[in-house]
Amino acid sequence: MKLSSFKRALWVFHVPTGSCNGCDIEIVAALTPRYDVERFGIRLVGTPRHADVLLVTGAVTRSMAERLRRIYEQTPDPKAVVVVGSCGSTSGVFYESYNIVGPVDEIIPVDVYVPGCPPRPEAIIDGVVKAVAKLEKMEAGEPV
Amino acid sequence: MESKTFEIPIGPVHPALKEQIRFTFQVEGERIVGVDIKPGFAHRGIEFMGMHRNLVQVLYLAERICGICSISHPIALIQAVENAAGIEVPPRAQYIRVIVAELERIHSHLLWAGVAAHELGFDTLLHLTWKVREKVLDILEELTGNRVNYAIPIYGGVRRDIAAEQYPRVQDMIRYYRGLFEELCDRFLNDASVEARTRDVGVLEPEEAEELCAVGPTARASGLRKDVRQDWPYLVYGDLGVKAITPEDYGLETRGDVYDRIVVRLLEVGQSLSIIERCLEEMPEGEITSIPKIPALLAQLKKAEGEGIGRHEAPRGEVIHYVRLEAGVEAPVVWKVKAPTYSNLLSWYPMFEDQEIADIPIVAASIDPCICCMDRVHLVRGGRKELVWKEELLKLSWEKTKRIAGHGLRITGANDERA
Amino acid sequence: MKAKDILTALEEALADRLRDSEIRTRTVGVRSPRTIEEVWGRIDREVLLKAVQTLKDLGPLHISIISGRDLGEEIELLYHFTVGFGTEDGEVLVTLRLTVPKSDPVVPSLRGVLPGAQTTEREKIEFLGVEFSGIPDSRHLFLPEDMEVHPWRVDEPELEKFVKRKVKWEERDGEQNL
Repeated sequence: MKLSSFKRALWVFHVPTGSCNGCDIEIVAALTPRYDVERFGIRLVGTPRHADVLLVTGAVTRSMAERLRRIYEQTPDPKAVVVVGSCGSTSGVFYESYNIVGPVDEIIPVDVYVPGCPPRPEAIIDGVVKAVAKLEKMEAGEPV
Repeated sequence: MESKTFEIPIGPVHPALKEQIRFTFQVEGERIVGVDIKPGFAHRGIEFMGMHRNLVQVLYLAERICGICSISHPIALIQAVENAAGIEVPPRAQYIRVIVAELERIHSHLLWAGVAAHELGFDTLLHLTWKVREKVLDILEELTGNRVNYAIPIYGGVRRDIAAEQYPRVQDMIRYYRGLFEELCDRFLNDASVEARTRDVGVLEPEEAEELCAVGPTARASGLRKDVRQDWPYLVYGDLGVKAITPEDYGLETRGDVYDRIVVRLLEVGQSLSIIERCLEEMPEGEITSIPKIPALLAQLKKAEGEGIGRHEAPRGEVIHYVRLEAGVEAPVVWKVKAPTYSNLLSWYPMFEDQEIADIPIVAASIDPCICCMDRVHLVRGGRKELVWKEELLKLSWEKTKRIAGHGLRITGANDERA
Repeated sequence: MKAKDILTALEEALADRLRDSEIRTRTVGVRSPRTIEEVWGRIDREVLLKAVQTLKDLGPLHISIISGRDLGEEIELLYHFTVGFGTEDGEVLVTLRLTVPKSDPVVPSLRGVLPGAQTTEREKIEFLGVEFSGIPDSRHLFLPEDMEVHPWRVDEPELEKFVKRKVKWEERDGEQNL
């Protein structure tokens, strides 16, 4: 789908849950002039109450699991959850630890997985676009 | 005296990016009188995991302790294991390790410079610095195959060689950055608003830095000439004669404030460029690893017995790994990791004393904290509790810049829609 | 700073309370090789503060980390110090080993001599269950407040409850044609 066909601006909220920051800096790099998603109207916001898409990174640590759930509940519908990185999708290298409670989809439902360690900014943008396509289908009432 | 609880996101920062560490400040009016810090939210139990896996798996785990200082932990870990097991490293591999480590230092300091600019309210500088940083990421991708998490070092050498065709591109990058260096220094160090916001803010005295065992640019900005590359030469840093940089090298009197830390980091970018240039010239031909096959390596490590320590000067300071190996056991029996922010955590306490609330973001970011490195954080204190989100703090910081600058400064923030 | 001088100073100050001391050497560098020396030794907890003061008098002292290990009946702590930063090629790593019985895991805190050691001491309290007498703040640093187990101890049956075993994808998601 072409990015120019968005019906409105897309607001994204980033939730790190104990990540190594690799995916986080690639997400911020997607905003900088080389990749520049802001020209499509995609921007990071400061609170989940304004967000359409949640970008979750990191293998979920024990202390962050409850917060992740709360943030998910605070985000208004319709929403899409995009998990960025291998640790969120499948725990990646962080398995069998006393403080990790599992990949993100054991805590909240996930719509799009973007694997990679870390995924390139292009892949992250692709993931967000797929989430937007899903959102637009949901808003139109079509089955996803 | 009331107590305000701030939940502060630190790290690669943009309004919504939050690294979890909780500060509680006790404030009187606008002035901070006490601080309490609780990390622990990004603690993943890395050492515990590492003590149950074989050493090559531990290497991949060590790489992902931090995405910004991605090669620092493997270099220290590999040194520790090589010392414990008595594995030799060919000379060419040592030079390649140094080249990639210095490229990482450049990318990390530029990243931090953008973050610091954002905390002060200069979003245009954030975008400029991160755009400029893309060039070193291109070279890293060219040499190693990835922008983050390079997987270059291995026990006994490195995994990839630098081909002769790639030298000109690296030299191009060095010329590019040398050309920009003046401009970067000018924008950060000669700007009146930056100076007004950072001079005499977040001061760490040299005696305090020494007592609290600060490391890295935080210690060097306070005047301590403390640099693992200079004091405890490892790899080929001894041959290159690397010296610790303090603000005196820029002709300034050392005051140990946030401005000095910006000075030290920008000068270190210049130093890294010179180191890479010399390495490319002096690197000998030869093999790149002493044990090419992984099964042979694993077999040798399984038989090894001993303990070893490896240290490295990461962009943030000293990284140290301690490893103890026992014969017949695949996993390391003891693996201890120390990241630089661990040592710099205590220096936050004297830095916050007597500062204004609006200065919290820049003072917190000035030690270049890497919480994921350190954590392997939550708190409370009496009085009236009030939860303040990062956006409000950032707004306070940006408004202070506007007041100080006096004229209409274009502050671009992503949260203006909330007003 | 030379490793020999440090070892001599420690031997003079601690006499027979310092055992198993040695200097380990390695060569580093390609064009101008140099020798790196490390001092290793074993001390008793009663002379820890005296040893640290001796090191502090020799030159600028820095504590890198305290590593620890559970040996069954005892807990072994390794203090990794460096002496003499600030001079080219002048820093020496000094590692002091210290063993305490599990029934009485108390070690004096370095808060007076070297305040920078507080972070690493707090970490040992929560990970190994060691107590540091005189430490002003012994709250949990990295682990959740309510976690009572010590992850690095070898005899913690409760720890198994916290460790989440690897997910078996076929069981969780079923067989799928991807």
